[in-house]
Amino acid sequence: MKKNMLRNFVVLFALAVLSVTLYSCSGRSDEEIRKDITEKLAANPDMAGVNAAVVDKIATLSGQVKDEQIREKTESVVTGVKGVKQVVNDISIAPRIPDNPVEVAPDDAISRGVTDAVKDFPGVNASVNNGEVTLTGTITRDRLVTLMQSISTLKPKKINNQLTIK
Amino acid sequence: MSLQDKYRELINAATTSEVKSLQVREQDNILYIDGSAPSGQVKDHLWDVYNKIDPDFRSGDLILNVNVSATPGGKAKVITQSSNLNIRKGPGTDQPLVGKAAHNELVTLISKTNDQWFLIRTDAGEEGYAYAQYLEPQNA
Repeated sequence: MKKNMLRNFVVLFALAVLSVTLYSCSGRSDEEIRKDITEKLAANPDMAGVNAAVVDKIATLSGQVKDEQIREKTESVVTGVKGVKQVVNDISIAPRIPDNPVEVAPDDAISRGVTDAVKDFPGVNASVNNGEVTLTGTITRDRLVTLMQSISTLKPKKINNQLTIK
Repeated sequence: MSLQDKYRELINAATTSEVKSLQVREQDNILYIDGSAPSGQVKDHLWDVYNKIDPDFRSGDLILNVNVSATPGGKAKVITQSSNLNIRKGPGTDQPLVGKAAHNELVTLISKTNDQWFLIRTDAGEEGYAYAQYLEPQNA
């Protein structure tokens, strides 16, 4: 009788250990893990464009973020979620949308400005075509910065510096 | 390597030196950096960094348009190479001369016509337009 009770106790104990072990291995369902991940992502506005799917504890991330840094950060955040066995990072980087397009001045305005700018630079010639300013001729190196600064204020599209530096 | 990476040091310098209204934009493989610098030293530093990354500005892949913010009523220093600065009747080198300001002289900034021309007044009372490149606003 006593022996039987002891055996029952051992069996129960073994069952308890087994269930705890099983729970810690597989206790969290994919859905629970996914909810946790979604919560973590929601807490960070930079990760708003990320979606997570969880199958067999493997989290697959998709969607877009603004740069590589956020992409890696998202992966490490998700890796840290309890129950996640592996992370597949399929997040892409969103193309950069400029706040507003660069404004290039019209050629006649640039030409007028260029005339004023090169006046004090004998030996320098400048032509303007389609927003591009092309500088030719000769200049001394110490004066080059001043000329470049001057031309840069005219809102050109591009400066082609073909000057020979003396 | 992207242009933002190539000019990373310049972008960082602009960010850390309190350039106001800073805009860094890339369009058709050219980087445009616009903003307003707190002082002439900051502007010069940015151009030094630009020159270091792209010696003699040969690549044609950056337009650095960061000028010293100019406050009307404030002072500006004449930073010609050594000569006097022409003061003209209107904003343009085709305009007649109405006066001159000496190298290193401090003049009063009345208004900013654009990034090329400032309306100024000298202590001698001469008033007219001068080329902005040769004026360095003195911000307290």
